[in-house]
Formats: sequence, structure tokens, C-alpha cells
Amino acid sequence: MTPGHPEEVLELFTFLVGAHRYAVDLARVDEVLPELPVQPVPEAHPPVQGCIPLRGERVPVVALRAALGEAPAPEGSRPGLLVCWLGRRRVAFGMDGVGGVVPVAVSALRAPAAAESVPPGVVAVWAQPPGTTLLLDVLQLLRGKSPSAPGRG
Amino acid sequence: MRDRPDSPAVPGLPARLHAFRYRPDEDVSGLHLPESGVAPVAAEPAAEAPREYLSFDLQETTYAVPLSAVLEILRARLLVEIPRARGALLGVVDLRGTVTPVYDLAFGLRLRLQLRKVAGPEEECEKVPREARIVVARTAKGPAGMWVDRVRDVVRLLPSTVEAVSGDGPVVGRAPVAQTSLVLLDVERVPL
Repeated sequence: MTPGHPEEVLELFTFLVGAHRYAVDLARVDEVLPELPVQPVPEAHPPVQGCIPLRGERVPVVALRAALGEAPAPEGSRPGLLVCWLGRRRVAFGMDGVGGVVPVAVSALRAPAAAESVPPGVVAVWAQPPGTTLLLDVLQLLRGKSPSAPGRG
Repeated sequence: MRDRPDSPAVPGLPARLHAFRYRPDEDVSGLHLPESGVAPVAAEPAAEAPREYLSFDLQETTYAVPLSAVLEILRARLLVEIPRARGALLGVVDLRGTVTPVYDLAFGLRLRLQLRKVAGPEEECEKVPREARIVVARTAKGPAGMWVDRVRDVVRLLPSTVEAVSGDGPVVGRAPVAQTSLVLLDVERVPL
């Protein structure tokens, strides 16, 4: 099936950061962990906070809230770490809560409009009342380029 | 952020979604991430730190491998056949787009004389036991699946309770657990 086909469905893993709901490709998700103490490492530059030891492996931790320019977590949030596959290595992303797994038809998605202010790395928007889910390309976010983000106004 | 649910999809969405989807072979250059490497063992001079192992059954014996070497555990299934496969290679499995070899651990450990037939046309294969699992482990040659009869548990062993086994064989130690003895394996040494 080609991208953009009306019946094509993406499986999204949704999670909360600051005031917004984000999503990554479910296939990218390795596991979800509770908040863990992050060990600082000298070679880490923001938004990388440091590393956590995970079954013998040192896994970098990215502070998503800072990377996305999000506000502090709202009251009652349940912070955790979303461990994702980036290629063949794992990277943990700090988040403020887990949403869930949801299948979404590609036809229900749209690219952010040019005049729309979205956080960096957001490649598509799923507007499903009562809220909006922002599809996050974590590779693009970490590379610091975002074709859909002309800047946050 | 302003919602604009009625705005039309602008050109480029398929390309954006292509980048959004996970692919094991995706380009991860230029991310400026710290090296992953092996986590340093926390210094605990005062107390002996337990080590975690994944235990599993092969025939009548319970074996274990370090949990740090285990990437994931799959329900056993029929595999894709590799013509003229050698050694203990049973076939391959598609693991999120990565072709991963699966080996008959019992054959590699000389517990079986013949490879089980679990790859190729279904009618030619033996029935996959309900409790069988594929333990995918990290090895020097990349991820490798090991077909086991049953996965048991994660056990924590104090190094002082492990009786080391010398030699170059795959068995590197034994440890008493409950009523039985756990055989500790070095995955890298199993002749697959």
C-alpha cells in the first residue's frame, strides 16, 4: 500500500508532554519505564540529559519538554521514560504521561499548515475532537530541523 | 497551538509519514547522542550486587543467560527456511524488518541429534509447542534467536552463589535455585 492511500492505517503510541499530546510510530516503541535517575555524562548536550543504565546498556535520555519548548508538566502528571528505537539503538525520551495505542487512518492526518506554529519535529497533525495529537519525528527533532515548524509564535 | 481540522492536507504528507515510520535501517547520523556502550557497574563495595539471569528450559534442564544479553522473547512460530542452512540454524524470523537468525539451542548444546523442523512449508514442519519461545539475544554477530522449550523466570543470583565452570565450553557456571540447579550459559560460546 502506498503512503497516502485512504485506507492505510498507522498505529500510533500517544503520550503527553507539557500541554500537548504527541505520538510516535508504535513500531518505534521499545518499552515504557517509570521516571528513573539520569546519570549525567560529559558528552551529553541539551536536549540530551544524560544516560540511564538499562539491562547493561547505557541509554541516552532526551528531555522532550525542553526539546519541544513545552510548558512544565501539569498537576497530576505521571512522568516516565519512553524508550524508542532509533535505527538499531535505543534512546529514552522523558514524557509527562502515557496516552495509549491508537490506529489512525492516514487520511485523517494532515501536514501542519505553513502559518501554524507547531513544536519542532512535528510532521503531521491528527485533529480528533476533543484534542489534537501531534505526530513527532524524533529523528528530525534530534537533528534540530523541522520543515513543518517555521517557529513557535 | 491552533487547531485547523478543516485545512486540506498539504503536499508532502506522504514523505513526512515515510520519515515518521520506524525502520531499523533508518539513517541515524548527526544525532549527537552519547555513545550507548555498556553501562558501568555501580560501585557497591559494601554489598555484593545480584546479577539478573533469564532462565529457560531445554528438555529436562533449566538454563540461564544474563538478562543484559536478552533483547526480547518471542512466542515460537514457524520460521522462514534458509536453503542449505548449516549448524544449528533453524531459519530466520522478521523482527520489525530485521532478518534475525534463529538457532536450535538444544542442537547446539548436543541435547538433540537432529534439528527440529520448524521452517519451510507448514505441512512439512512439526507442530510448534505452545510453550516454546525464541529468546533473542545480543551476540557479537548481531541479534540471534535461540529456540527454547519454555521460558521460566528472571532470577537474581549473587555471584558468590554461582559455581564457576572452567573451560571453553558454553556452560560457564551452575547455581542452586529452589530444588534444582541452574546451568549458566555464555551465549557467545554456544556452537551455533
